Amino acid sequence: MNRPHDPQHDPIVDRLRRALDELTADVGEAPAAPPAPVVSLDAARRERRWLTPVLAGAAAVAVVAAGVVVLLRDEADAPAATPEDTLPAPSSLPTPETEPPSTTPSTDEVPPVAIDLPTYALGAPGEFGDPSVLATRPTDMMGMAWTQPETGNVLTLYVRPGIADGDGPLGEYYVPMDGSFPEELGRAWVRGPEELGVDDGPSWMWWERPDGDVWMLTMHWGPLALSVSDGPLNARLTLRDWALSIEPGSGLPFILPDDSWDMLSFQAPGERNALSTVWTIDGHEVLLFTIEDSVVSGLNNLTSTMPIVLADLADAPGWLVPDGQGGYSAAGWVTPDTNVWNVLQIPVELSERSHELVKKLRRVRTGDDPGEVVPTALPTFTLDLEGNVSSGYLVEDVVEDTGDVRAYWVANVGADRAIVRVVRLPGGGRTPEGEYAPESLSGDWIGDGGRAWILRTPDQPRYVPIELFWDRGGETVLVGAYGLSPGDLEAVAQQAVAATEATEAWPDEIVLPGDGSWDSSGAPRLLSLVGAGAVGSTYTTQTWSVSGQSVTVAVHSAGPQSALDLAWIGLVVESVEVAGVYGWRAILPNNQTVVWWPVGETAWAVVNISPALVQRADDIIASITPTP
Amino acid sequence: MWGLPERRGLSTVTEPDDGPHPAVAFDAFYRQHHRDAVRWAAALVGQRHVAEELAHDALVRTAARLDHVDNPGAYLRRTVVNACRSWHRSHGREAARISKVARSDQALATGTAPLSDTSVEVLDLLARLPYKQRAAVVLRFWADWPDDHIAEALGCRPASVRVMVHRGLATLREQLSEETPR
Repeated sequence: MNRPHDPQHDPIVDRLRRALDELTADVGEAPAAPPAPVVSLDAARRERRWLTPVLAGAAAVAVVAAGVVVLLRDEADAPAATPEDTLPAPSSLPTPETEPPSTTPSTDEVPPVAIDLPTYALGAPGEFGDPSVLATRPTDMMGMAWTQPETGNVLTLYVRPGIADGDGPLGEYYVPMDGSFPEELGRAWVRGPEELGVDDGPSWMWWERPDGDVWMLTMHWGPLALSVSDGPLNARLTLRDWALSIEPGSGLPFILPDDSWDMLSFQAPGERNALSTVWTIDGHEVLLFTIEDSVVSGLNNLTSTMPIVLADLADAPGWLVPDGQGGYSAAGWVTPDTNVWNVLQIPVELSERSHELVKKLRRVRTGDDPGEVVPTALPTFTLDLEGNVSSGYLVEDVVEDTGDVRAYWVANVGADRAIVRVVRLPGGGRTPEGEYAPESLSGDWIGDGGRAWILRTPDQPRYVPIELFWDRGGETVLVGAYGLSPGDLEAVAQQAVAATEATEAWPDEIVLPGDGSWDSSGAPRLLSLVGAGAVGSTYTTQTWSVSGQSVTVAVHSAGPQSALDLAWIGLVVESVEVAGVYGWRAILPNNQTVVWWPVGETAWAVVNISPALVQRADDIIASITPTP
Repeated sequence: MWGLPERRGLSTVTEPDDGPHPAVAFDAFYRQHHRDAVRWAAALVGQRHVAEELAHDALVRTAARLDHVDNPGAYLRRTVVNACRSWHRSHGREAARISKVARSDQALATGTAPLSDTSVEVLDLLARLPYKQRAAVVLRFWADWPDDHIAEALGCRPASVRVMVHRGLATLREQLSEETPR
């Protein structure tokens, strides 16, 4: 244990511990029957996932059910339904293509990140500032949903092919085995009350079919389920009966051949594009989540609190929850002429403005003001080494770099050059004592305007071996370097910080005194700015394993690269052709190969090749191709 | 850029060392580590039902490699942390915003008691930390992992863990101190 800081009496840590203890208080021991030990990873990844959409979907189907009920009530009260009062009919959605229910994407394939989803603007251009847009590709199962208007019931079905193992569902959510289930139909586990009550939640069913597929079903009971029923309603048996009535379809994978049910939605299996768009209004964030081809996922974020009302949302009919659980207002709708679902979340602080905001939401179409929302579309690249890739797979897809403000420098030290990274953190008064292991601290050093500590870490080639932790009063500066002694690091750190003070807009507009020439005195001196980290840029990162070593390909939507061609002069930098364009290559002091090249007009790609692969760097670079 | 590997966690793809290890029965391994794995995941994602699945997947993944890893426990730790990170990447932004709702739904769905307001407040602030900071704080101060274990799981070096802890705790301290201590 290397935690010299004793948090025992830290009230913040105490509160943290109490909260986490409470969160995990009910975690029990392992299930009585552990799963079979031999499970393919893909199967394991697919398996057991049903409870998440089931639980998360509970809120969604509640909304759908409530919407249906509201519609029914509206129909009873109003002489004629207006278009605004009509739920999106299933027929208004594009006919989904029937796909075999076994399309879990191969992890060997890097999915393109380019997003082609409808986008929305809030208010007039600039009224609520520029939103941040995050592209993701969440994975979901093949699913179908039906509604039963006369009851408000909603039945959802997820299908996972070929994972039935006879063990049934696992986890803390107890679903008892159905001992009366017909043997010839497989085995089933069903959870639901023998006599449905008014406030009962959804019922679940896990059905392991003879063909090896598993069906996961959820029945959300509509508010009229009991009034329509002739007597007490056995939730378990009713769910089971409806599940058994589902048949294979010709256009859709499955149908529920009963006139009392309408198909609500179908979602194909696998990954799907999604966008999170966030506007910050008066310090509070309004989130719009847009996802293709996924009714259940698209509604997952809606709350289930009544009352729900129908609303016209961005020229489409949808549902509005003015006062949802947790204080959020929420709205959901389908983008017309698409199978794209949208969910808008408005925090409680803006709840009084929810109707205003909903009215100001509008779809951005091609040709609109270019100053409005622009979807994230970063290309990706593939390594094609023709069998030399032992296991190439995507590790991370799209993330938003909320990053540190940082800068990279080249410095000279005697006859060699070093690379220096400077990170500035807001806030002062920090010390590493108590947070850093004592053995990694090298006393302290009094610099101009504050205290500093030298931090040493074990020799790990990938990492900066020496860092300087500098509390400068108003900020904390971390300076790390390759190829510098502690003494040199101190000197360079002082220069780096002094240089940063030369501009108020550090680090984007920093001007360096260095001229790029060698310093004959041998004293360490900053030479050039390599680049400066941007805050809030979006990037994709793909990491490949080549002969057990890593190759990372990152594409930045924006960032420090504008300065890259001015620097790296302390390193051996050469031009290189990569992915059909010209870029640059440098070999770091630890033999790590770095290649970077422009992608379009604003984005840059950077490849880091593990030091152990330095001899194969040419082959790897040549194998980089844009993902179609 | 050369700073990337450190932040992006290259070690997440580093294959564990091949080599013999004591035969560990899967059943025993699962039973032995299930509770811890679920607790870690719950603390890292803030949602119990998600944690159950992530932990299960991590246990199965680890079990599939029992014959190839020297230290299954370490492999499990890293797998849980990586799984939570992946989940956080895909759902974190939404999760941070619906965390209260999710926990309420979870309590309703599972029949468990809802969390206290005090805990919800702390967990919501925790959920808003960048994942690595959150993981570093949780794993050090609550799970009592040593820094080298945290560093291994997060794919960074111990010094980075300490920075993350420092920053994460500072953020929590700043935001919690703005409110009346409970």
